[in-house]
Amino acid sequence: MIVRSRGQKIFNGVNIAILTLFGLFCLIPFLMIFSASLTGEGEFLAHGYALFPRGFTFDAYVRLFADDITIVRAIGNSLFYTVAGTLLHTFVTALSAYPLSKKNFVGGGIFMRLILFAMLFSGGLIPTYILVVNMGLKNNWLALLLPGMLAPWTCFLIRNFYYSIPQSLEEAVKIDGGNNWVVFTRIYLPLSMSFLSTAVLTNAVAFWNAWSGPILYFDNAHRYMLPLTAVLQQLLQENISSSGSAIGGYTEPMKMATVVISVVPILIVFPIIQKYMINGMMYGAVKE
Amino acid sequence: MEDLRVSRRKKFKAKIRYMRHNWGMYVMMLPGMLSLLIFSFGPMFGLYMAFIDYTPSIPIFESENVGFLWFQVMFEDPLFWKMVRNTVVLSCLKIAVNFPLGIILSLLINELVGKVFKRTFQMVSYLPNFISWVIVSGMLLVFLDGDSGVLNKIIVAFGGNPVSWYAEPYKWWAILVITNLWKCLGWSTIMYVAAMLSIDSQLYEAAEIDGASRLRQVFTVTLPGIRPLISMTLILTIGKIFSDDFEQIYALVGQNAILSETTSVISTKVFEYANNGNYIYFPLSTAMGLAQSLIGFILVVVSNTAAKKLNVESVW
Repeated sequence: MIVRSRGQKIFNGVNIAILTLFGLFCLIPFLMIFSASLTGEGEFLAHGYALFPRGFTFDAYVRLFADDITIVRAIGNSLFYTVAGTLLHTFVTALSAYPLSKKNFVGGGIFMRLILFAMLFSGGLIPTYILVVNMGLKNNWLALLLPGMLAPWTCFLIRNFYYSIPQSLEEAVKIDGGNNWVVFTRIYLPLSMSFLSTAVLTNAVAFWNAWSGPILYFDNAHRYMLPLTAVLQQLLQENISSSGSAIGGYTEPMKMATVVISVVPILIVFPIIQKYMINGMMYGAVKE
Repeated sequence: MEDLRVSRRKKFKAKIRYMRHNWGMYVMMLPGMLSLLIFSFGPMFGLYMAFIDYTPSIPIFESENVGFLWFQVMFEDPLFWKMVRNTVVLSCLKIAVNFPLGIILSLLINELVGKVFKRTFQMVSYLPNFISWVIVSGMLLVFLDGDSGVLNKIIVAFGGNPVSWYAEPYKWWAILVITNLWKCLGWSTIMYVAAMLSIDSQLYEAAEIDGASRLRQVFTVTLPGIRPLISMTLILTIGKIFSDDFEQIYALVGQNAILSETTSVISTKVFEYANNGNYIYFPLSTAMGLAQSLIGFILVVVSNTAAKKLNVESVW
């Protein structure tokens, strides 16, 4: 479309202005938390939140790490759950996608139907909670890693990718006496590495952001096992429900510094994973 | 008849042979399927809890069956109806605001000429989608905090009285809709913009030869071009009208008792019971969860069938 008349030029200008405003609407909350985390405590008490930090200082971060070990430990927990959970879930999902990608796989239809049904219907929170507790997984970090190892949507995406791997490679390995495991580890995994790496990052964001599971499965005595986002949720409760939270002693700039720490990793990987997720959506829309 | 049976037996034998030769394939399925069967299908059996007199010390399947007592209790509970109201009101408001705005925003993006601006804008507008609701909750505090929040400072600057946002339940329908818009609107344009890009450019050229203005082209070419997608999205969104957004409400409102008047929904209430270990409420909240997910399941299936009938792509 070529810009011609004056009316169109005006329209384009107005359009850009509207979209710029919406873009600012999306970005300003991010600027505000950064700014609040860099504001000095006294300045904050006097002036409150602002778009730019008054009395620029890294005090909140220093205190967050120096005062006690809660936040450091929470970051460590988050890293552990994120790395372990992401590797486990992505590997298991990629592994399950391999047989499902074979046209002659006996029972594939049944497995697919089970996966689809699990996608559509769930037993709900209380039965899941009781099951996990009865398995002895209350206050156990396995409660966060074992459920949902097979992610249906990712599994379908990976299976779809496997279709594009030439059959001849697999036949060559099988002629040399290799079994399915060899085919999977020597051909499918290496060839799908670039595709899987984005799946890994997407899973990692989900694990990093997870908070309701940890809060549910770790009781108050095991609060030291909580990941960062869950600790943050409890910190903010103090302001939200004004019912003196159990974790006290944090100033507002310190809370905002915690928000910043938990958002930065996502800001870093976000440009990479958004393309993958858009591809996933498109695949969902055009399939069948 | 005889032939059929023989061939069926042959097929069966072939299948067994396949399974014996390729047992490795089933070992590969094992970890994923175990996790799925235990943690997705296991709780489905636990739904039986909605029909028993529950005590933690007695196994579920040995407890006394009380029939539909808990469902009766549920329907007579005013709290339940309040939660249903909150869920439906919130869903309707979100649809009414987000759905048209999503289309309008997509149209604006589609009309953009400069590639760099377009790409930058899209990146920025997708960003909130990737953030956890807990972080949004922190951001919201910046705006709504009673003493130091930005919104109150603006109100005071214009001579108004500060509002204690976290103590005014009826403002929260709007707050939840706006935060949802902030987080989801940009992301919701992806499908529309992609569909608009796939419209045949000859249609625009033809419209231009006929003297149609850009605005007219929007109504005669662009919107009709994405109509199937619009109706599908609408149907699927309506299918989710009884489901609530646990992460949003629990992260932004938490256990604030004053706000629960307008913000408590089934999923947050159930989470609260589970989190506090209120065993007495377990069967009742299982019944509530079951009712909600059954209705949700039926609605999704119905809306999907409707979408299929409209001859457009469905979700599965």
